[in-house]
Amino acid sequence: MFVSHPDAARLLENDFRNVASFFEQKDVDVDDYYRIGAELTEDVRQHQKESLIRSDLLD
Amino acid sequence: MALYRLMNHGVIARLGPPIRQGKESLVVHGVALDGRELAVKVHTSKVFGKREKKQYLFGDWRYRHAKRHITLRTESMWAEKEFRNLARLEKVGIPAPRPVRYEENIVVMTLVGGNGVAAPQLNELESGDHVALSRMVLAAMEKLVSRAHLAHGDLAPTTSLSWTGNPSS
Repeated sequence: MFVSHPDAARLLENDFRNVASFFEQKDVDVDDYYRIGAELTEDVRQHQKESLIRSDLLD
Repeated sequence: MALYRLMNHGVIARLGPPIRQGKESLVVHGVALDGRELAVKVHTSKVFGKREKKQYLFGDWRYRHAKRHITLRTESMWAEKEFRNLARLEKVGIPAPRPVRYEENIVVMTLVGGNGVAAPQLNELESGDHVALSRMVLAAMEKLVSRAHLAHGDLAPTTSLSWTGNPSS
């Protein structure tokens, strides 16, 4: 989905969490996942604010 | 009918057995005229309700005018959207299946894997360099958002394939 999608930030957070927890179980350092994930999620939230799509119209 | 059209147009030369059955689609092995192995994904979404499909499509500005056609064209719009997203991934160089063609509810893409077998999912890997793998996945995720302006939305070890070959070959 496009980053302007009303659900994009929430789902992107889930994506990073899912993948990070998998690699964490394999003893891989996943600090970068949380750091970059937080940065990108914030960018996506910004996109959503600028988006013309109104989430309340999707119901 | 869509499959016949794809075969008549020379996109698919031969169809093989099903490779994988997902919650929203069936993936069948195919071979192109030039011998390339293909994944033929047939969208048969039964799990997602109408509301989820609408949310997925209409949150995307490309499909903002599609509401009145939802009952007739959902599956084909779903396939078209997947095809266009795969094309964006290819454009920015993210390792993913290369889109070949879509027709109604069917998306044809290159097979990630070989000899009719899909590459293993990330969670199926018994051994390997997980550090290098994690860096590759993170780089792809970063590129997906910052360059393709897309979010996966369902990324997990079960929805990621690990393969050392080139997906376009």
